[in-house]
Amino acid sequence: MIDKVLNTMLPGSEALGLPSATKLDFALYQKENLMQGVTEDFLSELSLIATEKFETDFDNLDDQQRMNVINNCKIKNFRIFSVFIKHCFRFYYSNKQVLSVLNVGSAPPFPQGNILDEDDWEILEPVLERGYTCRTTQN
Amino acid sequence: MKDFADIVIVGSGASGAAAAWSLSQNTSLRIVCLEQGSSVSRSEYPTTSVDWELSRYTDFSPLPNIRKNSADYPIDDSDSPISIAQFNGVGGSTILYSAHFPRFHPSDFQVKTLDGVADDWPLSYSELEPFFEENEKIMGVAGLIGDPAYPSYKSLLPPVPLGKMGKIVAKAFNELGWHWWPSYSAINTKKYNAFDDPVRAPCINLGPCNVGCPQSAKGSVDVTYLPLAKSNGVEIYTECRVHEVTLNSNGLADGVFYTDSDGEKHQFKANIVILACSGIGTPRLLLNSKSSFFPDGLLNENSLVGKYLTLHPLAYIEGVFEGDLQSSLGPHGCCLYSHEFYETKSERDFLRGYTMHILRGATPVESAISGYFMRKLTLGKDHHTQFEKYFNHTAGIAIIAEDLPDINNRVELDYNNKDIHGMPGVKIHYKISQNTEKILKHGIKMSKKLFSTAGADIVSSFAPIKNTGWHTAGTVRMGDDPNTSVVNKYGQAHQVKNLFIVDSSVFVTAGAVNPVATAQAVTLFSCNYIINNIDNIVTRS
Repeated sequence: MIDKVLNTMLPGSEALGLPSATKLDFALYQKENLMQGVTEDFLSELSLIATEKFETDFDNLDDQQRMNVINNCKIKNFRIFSVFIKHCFRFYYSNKQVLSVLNVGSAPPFPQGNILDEDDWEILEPVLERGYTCRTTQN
Repeated sequence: MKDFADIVIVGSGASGAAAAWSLSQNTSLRIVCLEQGSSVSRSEYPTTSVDWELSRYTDFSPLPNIRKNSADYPIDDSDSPISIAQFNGVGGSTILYSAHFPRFHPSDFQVKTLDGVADDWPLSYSELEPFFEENEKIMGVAGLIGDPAYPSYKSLLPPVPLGKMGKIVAKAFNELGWHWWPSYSAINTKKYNAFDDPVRAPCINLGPCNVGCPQSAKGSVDVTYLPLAKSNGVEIYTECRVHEVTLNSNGLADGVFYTDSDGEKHQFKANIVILACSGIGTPRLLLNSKSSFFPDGLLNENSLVGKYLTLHPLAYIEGVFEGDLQSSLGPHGCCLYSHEFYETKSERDFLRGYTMHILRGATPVESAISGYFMRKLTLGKDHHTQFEKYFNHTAGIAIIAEDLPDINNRVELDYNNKDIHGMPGVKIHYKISQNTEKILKHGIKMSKKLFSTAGADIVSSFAPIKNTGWHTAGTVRMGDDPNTSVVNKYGQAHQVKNLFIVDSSVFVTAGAVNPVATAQAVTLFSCNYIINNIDNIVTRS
């Protein structure tokens, strides 16, 4: 079930070269971040909503129905939903494969840094033209 | 003698480290610095690993209650809209700070005289000026000389680059006719060290300064003051938590009790005791040091220790630009700032003011989380294209408000929650004043105007930000009158002449800028007094 949940929430994008979350090692992330309980709570909530709304298991739903259940979970149990979704984003957007596709600049471990253009400080002329603005004090 | 020093310093953070170096210039003194945390090496910083952002939620969280390192102590901040953020270890909170490094303004020391609020400091900007300069030399501060909002700086490293986003925002400031200036940043923009050896590397614009800088380009005190202090002979004992300052039969300080990492209790005798444990840790230690002279806690005869806590309530406004500005690149907290609204003006409905602090764009994980909850990103098939239009397109503005001191805002001991050695934790009581709420409201309004002028969509604006209680001050305030203050202008306790407080606890008011530059200048000012008067101070003890 977790694979279907991840693939519904963060599917791959061929056009952008981004993998589906289900293609990455969520089991390892779960283990390292001690969040099995969080996942179990979330999946239980989804199962309940799927049965309630569609009278079937989450696994039997189509993509649109699955998204409907996930969005419904956000309304019905925001705490469980928000804890899981934050983990989901942390898992996905700290993955090397994902970061290599995004425009994140140099990624750790840092062999080199990022270059920012040099500044032309003539841009400060309007500020300087206003003169000294530091408030006068007694000493 | 192993357990005796001329001077014991408690804490190795921004002020403790500055004190250690300053005093160590007298190499005849044995100076020992006791630090409750351990050292963090560059190789341990999260940004040496690709999943570095995860550490912000675990062992490098700014929140001690989340991080729960052995050096952390319980902080119950449930009665505060702002959670306390700090780092306990060698280098203190400078390990995790963003290195935004402005000075207080001259007016910040005279708020009573100028605006009729709070109290004036017993010392002035001009008295501190040489110590600001000395401090900036050692910390390595980048910026641009000529800022019309400040008295002149004499020397700075080249400024941190604005980046594409910074330039767009700067033009918007110009269009509105508002002050702005490149940030004062304790960040090496070229190879630099105050005394050339060892030279620290320059910043390479990675971004996440606030989980530790593996380049050592950021001026945290573990790579600035402490190596210099150690080379002068200062001894730093780590994982030693001081839980009591002890007094002799004359009521003068004669050392401290501390617990080591094995839980063993020790006494360290000293002629002079200096506390630099932060605006939270210093009152905690004083309140826990009870004796027949001070049954309610050391220096607390007027019930002032822990009172007048000031934090910097922050507002946050986020804008999204249409173009990819690579806004997440570069030191996140150091880009540019504005003091257009720093001072009291009769046409506004509040006294004092605020800094507009421009922040670079959020990191990937932060972008995804905030973008989703701010309804800029959805889940499902459209997520990635939306993320592409959001990440690296954003900028933030932090409004740093001056919250005036209030005796009801305070730090107390929490006997129900103790650290691993049994020392009480702390309970924070804090309310934001109506004046400050007006400041934050005004700051949000002006930030929206700025972003609108810059062509950005505003996606988020709120105040106060919860997890940003870094700037703790005022809890052991300085003053000339022993009835209304705890220490004098030199940080010397009114009632215990060989006990000094040298951190931001002594601030009378909080200003509306990041406090580290001023805290360290105050530290150097105090230590200069100690060095020049040491015979007198020691003879008394």
